[in-house]
Amino acid sequence: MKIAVAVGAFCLVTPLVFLPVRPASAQEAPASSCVTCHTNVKKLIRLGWEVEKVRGKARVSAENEGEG
Amino acid sequence: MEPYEKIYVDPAFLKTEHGQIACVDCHGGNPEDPNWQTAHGNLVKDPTFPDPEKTCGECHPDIAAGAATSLHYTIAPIGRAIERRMGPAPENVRQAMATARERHCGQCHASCGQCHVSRPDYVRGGFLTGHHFKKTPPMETTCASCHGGRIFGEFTGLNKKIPADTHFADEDMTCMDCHKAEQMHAAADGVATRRQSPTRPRCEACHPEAVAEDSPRAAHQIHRRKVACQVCHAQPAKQCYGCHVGTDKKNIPYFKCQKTTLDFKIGLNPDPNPDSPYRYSVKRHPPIVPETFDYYSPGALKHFDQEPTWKSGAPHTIRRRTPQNAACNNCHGNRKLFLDVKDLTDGEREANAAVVVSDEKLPPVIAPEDMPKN
Repeated sequence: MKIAVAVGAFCLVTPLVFLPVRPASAQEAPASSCVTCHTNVKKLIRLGWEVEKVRGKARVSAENEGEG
Repeated sequence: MEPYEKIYVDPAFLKTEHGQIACVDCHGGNPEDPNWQTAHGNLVKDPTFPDPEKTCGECHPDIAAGAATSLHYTIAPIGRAIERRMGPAPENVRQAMATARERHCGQCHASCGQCHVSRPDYVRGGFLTGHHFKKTPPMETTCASCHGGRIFGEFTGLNKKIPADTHFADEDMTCMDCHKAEQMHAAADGVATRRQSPTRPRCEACHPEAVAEDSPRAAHQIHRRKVACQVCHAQPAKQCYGCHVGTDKKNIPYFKCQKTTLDFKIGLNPDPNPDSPYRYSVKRHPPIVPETFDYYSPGALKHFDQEPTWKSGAPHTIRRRTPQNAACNNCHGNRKLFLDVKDLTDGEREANAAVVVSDEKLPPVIAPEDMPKN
């Protein structure tokens, strides 16, 4: 009986030793939605299409002439 | 530049010192809102304008305080020149001109962010590299965005048949080697024009021997404090004439520059002083005519003659050897090099009376026996 308890305890405790231990404060904070979107090229390209639908293309006057 | 590139944030930026600051701290907006339109509702695109002291000034108080009144930030001399040319105008004219200045002239100011983080507004922005802060901005994007029409092309040799400035071509120098941070950030309250800025680049800072009383070169001794360095060492530079501004049918501002030339003109210095004692300096024609703002207020520049349209300039086309300094009489007596009344339009004769070099003021031809030996 004692042997069975000891083996059981060993099986339970041993994996815990190999678990990564990090204090809560050192864990990375979840990225803000600004960061999530602005670091993702695919999302930004799709968003660009949406922005264009709503606001239209960036505008430059066709009447500009000569060198600036 | 593709629209997404303008606003893409490099993940590596988030590990830098500036990347540790929460986005909302500078830009506002609402990161909790899943709808991009409302999330960006109160977004501050450029947190460094109009008040850099609230953002940059938190950690860089001295720089931000000076930069807020710097020439790049306020472009105040342009406004003052327009004011002088307007004179005491009625309120409706002043309001129309304020709109014109905001829509056109005002596009060229540069905030902290428009030099160190993104391209200037004038070229519709976009991060330099993924929101990284660049202590020394890249000249080919930052400086050239606003100064690309004239200065950058001259400096790098883009003008046909005019070699690049020797500082660029032979010494690999960039804009920032002469226009240092101290100049860019300098407070400019009370500085009338950029040529009066005490922090502007001076040739003699790197070439003291050229202006020394005992200079080994005879030409430097003879012309010392009489002739600006560029008179002998600059090549032709771009002159712009006849710029008109307005707003098209879609309410988009436009600029029309009708004529440009590559020219080299030496004129009189209308206001010699201890800082700029020269009798002769190289002139540049800025893109202004009496009708420039007529779209907004016809005849608004009633006092156009208040200042010259050929202004002392510093062409960025410097070479040790130039056609005019190859021999004394390439310059002396060479009418073509000097600003003549024939070079002026009818509308600008009075404005340039003090800078035109009349035949009597042309430097005389040098006789062979009077020529210096070196």
